[in-house]
Amino acid sequence: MKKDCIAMLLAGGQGSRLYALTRNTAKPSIPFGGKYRIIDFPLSNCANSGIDTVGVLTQYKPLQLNSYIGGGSAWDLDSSNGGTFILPPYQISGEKGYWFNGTADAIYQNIDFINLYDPENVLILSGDHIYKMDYSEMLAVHRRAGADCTIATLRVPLAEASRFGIMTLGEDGAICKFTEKPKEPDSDLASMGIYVFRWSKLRSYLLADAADPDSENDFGKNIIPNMLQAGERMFPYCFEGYWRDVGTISSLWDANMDMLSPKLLNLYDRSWPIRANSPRRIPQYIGPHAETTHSIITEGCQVYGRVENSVLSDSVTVEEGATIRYSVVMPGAYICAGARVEYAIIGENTVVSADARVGAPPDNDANWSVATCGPDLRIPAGGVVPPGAMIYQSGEVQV
Amino acid sequence: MNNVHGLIYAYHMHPDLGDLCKRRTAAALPFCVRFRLIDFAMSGMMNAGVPDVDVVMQYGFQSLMDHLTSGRPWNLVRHSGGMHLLLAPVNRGAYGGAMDALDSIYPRLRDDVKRDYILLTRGDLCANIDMRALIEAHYASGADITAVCTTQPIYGLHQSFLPDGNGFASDLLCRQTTPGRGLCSLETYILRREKLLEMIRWCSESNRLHFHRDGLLHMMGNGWRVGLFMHSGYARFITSIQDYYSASMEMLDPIKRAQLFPEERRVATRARSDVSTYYGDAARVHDSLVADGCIVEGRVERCILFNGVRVGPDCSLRDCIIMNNTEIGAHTDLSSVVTDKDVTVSANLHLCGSARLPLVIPKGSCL
Repeated sequence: MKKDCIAMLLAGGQGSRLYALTRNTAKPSIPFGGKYRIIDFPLSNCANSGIDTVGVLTQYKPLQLNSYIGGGSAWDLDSSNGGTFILPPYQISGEKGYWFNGTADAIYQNIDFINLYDPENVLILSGDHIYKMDYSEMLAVHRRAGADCTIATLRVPLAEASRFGIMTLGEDGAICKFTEKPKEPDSDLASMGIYVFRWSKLRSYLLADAADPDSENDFGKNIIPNMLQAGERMFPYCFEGYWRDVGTISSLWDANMDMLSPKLLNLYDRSWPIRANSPRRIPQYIGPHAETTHSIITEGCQVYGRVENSVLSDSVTVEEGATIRYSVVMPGAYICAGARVEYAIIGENTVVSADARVGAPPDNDANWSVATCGPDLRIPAGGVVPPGAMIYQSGEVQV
Repeated sequence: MNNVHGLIYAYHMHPDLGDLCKRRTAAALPFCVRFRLIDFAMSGMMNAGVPDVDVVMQYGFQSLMDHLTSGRPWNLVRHSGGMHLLLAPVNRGAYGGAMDALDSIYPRLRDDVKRDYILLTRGDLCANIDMRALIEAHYASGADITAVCTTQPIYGLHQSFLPDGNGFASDLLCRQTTPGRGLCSLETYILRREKLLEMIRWCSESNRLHFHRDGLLHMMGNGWRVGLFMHSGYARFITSIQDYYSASMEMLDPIKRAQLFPEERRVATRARSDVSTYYGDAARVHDSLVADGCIVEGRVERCILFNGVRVGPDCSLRDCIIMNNTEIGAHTDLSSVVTDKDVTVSANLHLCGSARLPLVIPKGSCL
């Protein structure tokens, strides 16, 4: 079955900088923006861009992600001639099989899957970015340029450029230099980790890369520099719009707070819906004395207390006398009377008992940062989780 | 698998529902933010593991069919059986009663239905009945037919059973209008298929149209024993605007809400994927049920807001039911108003109904 383009979504990362939240689940399945999980963004973008076949590469703690994605029907990615496919590492006859060893290796190990669709192009996506992008536009740019590889790019402040893959363009607009996380960046054109490859080209580079024992099997470090060196046609796709990598606690918190400002990323725009596989819950109930201002709240919530500048996922309970400010509260969390949650992230199903304090306002403290409680914890009554703390065991909390 | 075939009457177009049911059957009425009335019957069947469900429709079925789609939300997409939508034959007048409706599907019940028991319920019944327990109670009691009853007072037109003290009915009182003697029937029954066929044949031969005063009374006269199964939670038929309004407002009561939406018997509905709801800086929301996908910037008290509602700045909404995608402009003041779907209320308008006579704004109106 010949396809013009299929997507491969890298969702196997551990997200070690989010360790309190990712001890038992992969980063792409972390709840985000109330209704969503991170992976909803690339999946919805695929559906909205007319890409109907998506391979999801999983490796680290994939169980929650697998059941969340299911057959892909939540994103209309369940057509009879395509759909969503979970692709875990697998055993090879006579051998043990291997974990995915780097982003390029994950695709290499699934060459047979991609060959089933014999696509002209392959779109490589990450499962940890928050953005809305029309991939069909990127594909059109790729085709018009007759490119072998097109890399989605974004202008970033030069001071932050060393966190990204940085590119320099030649006079013809093609990419002439690519450095992964340069110590001294000489350009502000950053890679978003979103690539379109001509599949025949990519396949030959993947085969060569797999045969190279010194390679780290990484797109940014190996495949792209190798293609560039060999003189392949590589172009940027300049993206303008909201895009966030949510790989750290502070970027995850920031991006959630951004959802309170539709000007940054408008989730209410019906022409580009971001869909979620929402659980069936009854509507949110806002109690007689509740205060809910500048906040996002989701169905199944019961709010009797005060919620300000915060993002509440589904089925969160806020008792009367509890206060939540500038915080992200994940599904099923329970905030008891007298508790105060400020500048914090509360994991799924965690109970913040009466009069506990999680996080605090910055107050010009240079070392301040967001407090994080992992999932399924019980913060004891009167317990204190100071700013910057990352708790994943209930016993860690001071009372 | 369960040996029970479900049958839901969804043909009622109660005139007292006025504009709310101008183009939709009562079973398709949006209720409690993200549900439709028929979700209770469908989910009751689903939670009891009933594998086949027929929905009997006649008029105003488009919105019901849009809602039920293929039956997937209730796990009723199956290679054999599953959900079937039964439309009245075109040459037939409006159903004069449930026996009339059953008579029109008699061949299907006789030849196509594979299960030995039939579970009947109404699509406009707002109750979360434990149908699994009902089926078991029927098997255990040896009754010819088991009726679901409530001790709660029901004010609209209803039927009541007089209990004999041993779990069976001693008599059936038809067409009651005020709570009085006996236990009110929730018009949800289980019986053997051949017994239902027998009842349909008798009614058809003697040209009787009504389930209770014709069919069931006759059968009871012939010695049928009617088992009584008590439903203890919330229950109401929705047959008028007042019923609809008061049932909706009762959902603000956490106890009644928990009775209708218990954790152990979830109510399924058509999946929709909306963004969470945003409450603006000046939002003041109290004692309200709110769907996802809303943007609320004004004051909202004792209201029910459905998906995709926009409440503009400096609005005041009290005791209102605002259905899907309604837009309420700035500086409006609404009290005891029910807006149907896709209504636009322009800025600065003041609209006022009352609890006894809520003001209903028809679907798609632009005020």
